[in-house]
Amino acid sequence: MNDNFHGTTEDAWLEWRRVCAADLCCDATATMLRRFGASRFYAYMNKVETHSGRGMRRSLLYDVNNAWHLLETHAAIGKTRSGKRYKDWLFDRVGPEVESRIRAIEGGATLLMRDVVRQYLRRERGPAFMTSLETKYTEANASYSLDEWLPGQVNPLNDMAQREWQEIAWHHARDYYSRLESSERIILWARFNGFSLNDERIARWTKTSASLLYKKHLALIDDLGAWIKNKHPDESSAALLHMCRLMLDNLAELITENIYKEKRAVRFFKKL
Amino acid sequence: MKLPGRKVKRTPAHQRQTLALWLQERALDALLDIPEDCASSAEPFRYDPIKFSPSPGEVFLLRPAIADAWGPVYVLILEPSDAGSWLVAPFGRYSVPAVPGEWRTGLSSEALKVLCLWNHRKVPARAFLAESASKVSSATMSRVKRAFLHVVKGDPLDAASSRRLGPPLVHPADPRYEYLAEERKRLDDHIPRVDSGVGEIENVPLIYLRASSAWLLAAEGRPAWPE
Repeated sequence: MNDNFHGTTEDAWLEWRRVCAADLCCDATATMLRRFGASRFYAYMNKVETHSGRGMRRSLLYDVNNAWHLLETHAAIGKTRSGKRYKDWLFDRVGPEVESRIRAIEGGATLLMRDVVRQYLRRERGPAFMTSLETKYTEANASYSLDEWLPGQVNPLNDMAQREWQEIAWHHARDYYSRLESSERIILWARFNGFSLNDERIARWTKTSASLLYKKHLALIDDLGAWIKNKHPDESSAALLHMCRLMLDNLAELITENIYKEKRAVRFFKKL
Repeated sequence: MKLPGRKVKRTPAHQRQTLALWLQERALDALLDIPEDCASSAEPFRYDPIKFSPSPGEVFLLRPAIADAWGPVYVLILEPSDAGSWLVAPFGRYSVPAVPGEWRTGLSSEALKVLCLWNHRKVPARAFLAESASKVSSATMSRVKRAFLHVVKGDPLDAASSRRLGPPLVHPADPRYEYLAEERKRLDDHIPRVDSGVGEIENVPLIYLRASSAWLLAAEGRPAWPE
């Protein structure tokens, strides 16, 4: 989005701040703001439409020219002056130098336009009421369906079935525990004990950055899911997820029992 | 190997629809880059003495606490907290609730459609930008309070209000985890910190250790918490 468009002036922004909307500003200011809005709106729309392979449609031209009005409508939370506090927010972001002041205001307005475009596209593409449970969503290079993310609640049929679930989960957890690396055990321990993976102490313990810890955690959970699916290929998403959660409970016990054996564990616990 | 017998209670259709809508909006969001030149040029932590007194039900914008804070962030004042600070809940970026701690307000303004009750914080009044931007009705405020108590304490909630909450978060690979971390950071970047030498706001733990907030623990990938 950094297109070096700095076609606005501070006087124009100040005039717009004073009055209700660009339509009530002098012609020069109104034209300047509409051009600015159109350039940002067009840049975002072009990006999305190019990504979707559809190209820009002629019908969009009206909305491109109307983009600044869309922003004013979107950002205001009421018809009174207080409902337009977002203008104060734009100006609160500015520093003392003129050039950087204009950049900061334009940057803030660009953030607002980003929200305008997202809502515009959401409305244009219509509701998702007809989305199939089988529709696939890609996350971290893996595909999931709504059915997998909202699989329903599993309840064992009776006490005996409950015990069987627990027993299988315990055996699986022991098998899976032997596959875990030290950093993976610490990641799970941290989660079990309420530590965020953003916690610097966990980063020092594992000698791994927070972003890598998050990636490892997601990869680990993905691997666990695949491992269970491989063991029970014909089971439903709900049953597999239930087993996954029972296994994590058991892994928590196993890891907690052995956490002091990890490298640098003593140093970590001394500093707690 | 066949897993033992069980009954499966299906997730209600309205929750699947809400998640589908949220995913659609999230996917659009991912296509729109964050502009490189959107940082403010102001020195962070320029807090002037406030000349107004916030009250519950008022909506305020927050001032950015760091230069590249991602705003604007609107918050609803829930109640007064410690001296000089207020318990607030931020409004979300999207038009539908993502998780059971988010509540559809029914307000028409785009910026006020979803209240992120799970992300409630104590905020010093001087973090508010100018005077209030809006005020919700007392009827809406009493519904908000009931929803808030449901989210943080597990108090019962009527069926109509429950339907306004977001869908459950159960799968460890759900993309909403990333969203929750983003929303926490977005609010963090608008609250002055103790170590900044300016703010007195407490450091809010990332994970809320309350049994009633089980879904939040799930959001952190934590399967259970010993009682």
